[in-house]
Amino acid sequence: MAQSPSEYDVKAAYLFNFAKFVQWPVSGGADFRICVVGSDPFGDTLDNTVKGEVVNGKRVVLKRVSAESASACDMAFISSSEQKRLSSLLPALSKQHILTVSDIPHFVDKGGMIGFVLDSGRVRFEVNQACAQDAGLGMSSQLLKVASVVRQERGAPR
Amino acid sequence: MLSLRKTAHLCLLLAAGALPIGAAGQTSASPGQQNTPLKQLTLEQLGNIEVTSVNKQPEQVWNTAAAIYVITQADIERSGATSIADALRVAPGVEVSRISSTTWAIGIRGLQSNFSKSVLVLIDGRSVYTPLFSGVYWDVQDVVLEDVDRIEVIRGPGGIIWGPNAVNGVINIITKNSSQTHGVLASALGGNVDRTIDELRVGSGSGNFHYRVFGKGFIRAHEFHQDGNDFDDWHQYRGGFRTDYDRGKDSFSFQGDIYRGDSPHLIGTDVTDDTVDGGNLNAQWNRNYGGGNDFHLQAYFDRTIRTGLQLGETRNTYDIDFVDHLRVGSHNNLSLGGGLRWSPNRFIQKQPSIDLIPHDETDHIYTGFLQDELHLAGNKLSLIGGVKFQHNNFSGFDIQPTGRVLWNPTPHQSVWAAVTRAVTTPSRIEEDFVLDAKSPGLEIQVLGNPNFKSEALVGYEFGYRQLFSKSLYVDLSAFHNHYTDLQSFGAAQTSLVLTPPPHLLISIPYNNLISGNTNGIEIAPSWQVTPFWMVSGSYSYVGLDLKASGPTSDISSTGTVSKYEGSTPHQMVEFRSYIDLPKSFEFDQVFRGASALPAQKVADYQTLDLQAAWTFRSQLRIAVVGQNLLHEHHDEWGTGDPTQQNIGIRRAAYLKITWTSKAK
Repeated sequence: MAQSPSEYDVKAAYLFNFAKFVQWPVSGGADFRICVVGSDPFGDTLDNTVKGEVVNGKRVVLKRVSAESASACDMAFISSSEQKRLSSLLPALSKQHILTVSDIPHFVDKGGMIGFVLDSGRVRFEVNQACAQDAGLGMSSQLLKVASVVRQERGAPR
Repeated sequence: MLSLRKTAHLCLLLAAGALPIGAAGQTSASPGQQNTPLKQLTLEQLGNIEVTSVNKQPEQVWNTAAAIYVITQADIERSGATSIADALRVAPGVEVSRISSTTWAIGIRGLQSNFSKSVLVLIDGRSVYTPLFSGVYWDVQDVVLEDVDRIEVIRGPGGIIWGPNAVNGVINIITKNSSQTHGVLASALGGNVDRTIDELRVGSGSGNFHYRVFGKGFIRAHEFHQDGNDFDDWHQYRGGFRTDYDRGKDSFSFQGDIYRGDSPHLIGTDVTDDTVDGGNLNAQWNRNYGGGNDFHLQAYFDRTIRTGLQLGETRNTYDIDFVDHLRVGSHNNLSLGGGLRWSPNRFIQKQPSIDLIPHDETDHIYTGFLQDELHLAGNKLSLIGGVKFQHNNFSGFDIQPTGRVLWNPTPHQSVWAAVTRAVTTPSRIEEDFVLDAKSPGLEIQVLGNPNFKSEALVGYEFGYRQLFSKSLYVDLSAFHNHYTDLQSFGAAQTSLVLTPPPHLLISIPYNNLISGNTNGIEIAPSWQVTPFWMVSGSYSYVGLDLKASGPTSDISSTGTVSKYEGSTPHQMVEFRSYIDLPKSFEFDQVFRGASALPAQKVADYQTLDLQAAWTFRSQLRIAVVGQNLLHEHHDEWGTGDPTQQNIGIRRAAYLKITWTSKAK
């Protein structure tokens, strides 16, 4: 039966993949922590994707947190429920070397690092390399090559 | 939206504009990959998987305090529509009635007419409304449907950001950026009513610059005529281009097209085979400063020439307008804008009895607007207030204020309410028309009225949207519209004229005697039943209560209370089901029903359209479509002449083959 995967099945697979193409500053933690911030759109697909997996020699664990307690993560998926809180959330996460990913529209224009976009029924992503660098994260050229848009410029506040 | 001042490092755009390089030239996930766990696919492969997403409306819909519905490219493809007008049937609250092979009556929330007055229709921001009769010539509005990104339909007074005449609604047809239409698209269609539609589009680009070029031609057969007078078969050719250039904060878009063809239709009892030709150029510049601040400037030129038996018109339209969005403080989004449109036109008199005086005129309209959106209660509540100013050469100066409120109690619920005043600017026909028919002993005149007023509306609206689970979405809207100064034909005045030869003169003026209310609701649920089966639909109800403040004459499809009330279907229902089958097959069904139009002598009708399609390697799509399958023919609108039979819309079928050189 040609059941197409759902949008969130593909996004869960992407999240798992992003971990392989981003470099974090060395940290001593034993686990690679993926957090879902806000209301969880994944259901159990993200749990199934990361179950038993190992990234960079670390066991992958999944946490669901609220915006107030979003810390102690390596990668944070920010749910659309947090759309109006980004201005306070993102700077806090940036200080902690957390890779921010979301499908909030124009996420990479708002200080996010990786933003999902739907293009003709396909899930693509945009990256903001400058924001990742500010957080001490390096994006591999393979990630940049596949991204549909790469933002580089840092602008002056207005 | 994010405030730049609050963020330490907000990174701005440099749109490299690059396409997903990995995806170009790749085929989509082959059947074998369906069994591989997704997490083992490469990034490129993940980007090629077509996903079924919950058919919730795009994010923007949650934050809009208006009854907006977005018709997606998938809706257009799955509906089997071969024209923009047909594609509009997907939206709730939009009355689409095909009059003949060439003509349509389209309206939103009632008061539809042959002229599609009071609905603002835009293609990529270019207005396709004609001041000749305050409406739309649907027969010359056409695009390559595969290159339409979406059609946004706003029911109700369109809010002040849109152009003039957004009284009952706005229809905005938005084509894809040329960076999304690389490669070759070739499509051929053959059928019994849509005889043939052939399209070729070629697009390319890299880095910051992308473009496409297209050519399209069609031949359409006549609809059903009781008297055998099959006059309405017609054809049209069109060619055009679009270019897009992105650099840093700026993006530019420049597009245009030209067309030529014929368009036979009825004026009263006469058939006129109009020759139509025209073209347009449309340039846009967008500068995005980030953080909710941006500036948009647009300029376009549109030329239409239409000549027929009864009349001809050439019209050039020049338009320039801008919109600026500003974040003021941390809680206010300010929008302001303005525009000018000049439309010099020439009326070509073909028959002594029909005229527009003066022949040459320049219609103009100046608009300006200002709107503020205030965010409160942790951004869950928005208060919007705004006003539009408009000046036109027909009726002078109009003010159109609006007040709206939007509340998002949870991320998946949205409640809104609005009050708006809107006006329809008069047309040349309403002001300058002279119909003067003479026969021995009798002269009948229908006269435009230089003091014709703008028709006005005050609309009260309410709406509610909720995403109930990952798979069920419901959108509900209700409205109460109060109309004043609707167009009417006044009482016939009879007099005896002594200038030789002596005869009876009957004179009927255009005036504005009708007012009253319309009320209604629209409900549009959408349900992803299983990952491969989606069901959606809508129910719309309109009730009318109009009255005239003086005697009126019943001579046309508008202009009296009974004509308006009897030309709006009280109820419309639509049910759509899209099924994905194994081996890249697809089966879609669309069922539609509309209640009767007594003033048009149209009974209530139901239609069923079916589509079966097969896609080979994501590049070749073969589709068989049946339309209006339930009856051999059915009426959707009248001819406006009591002695003439309505034109029946025929049962139709077509085969369409589409080939794209790259997986989309």
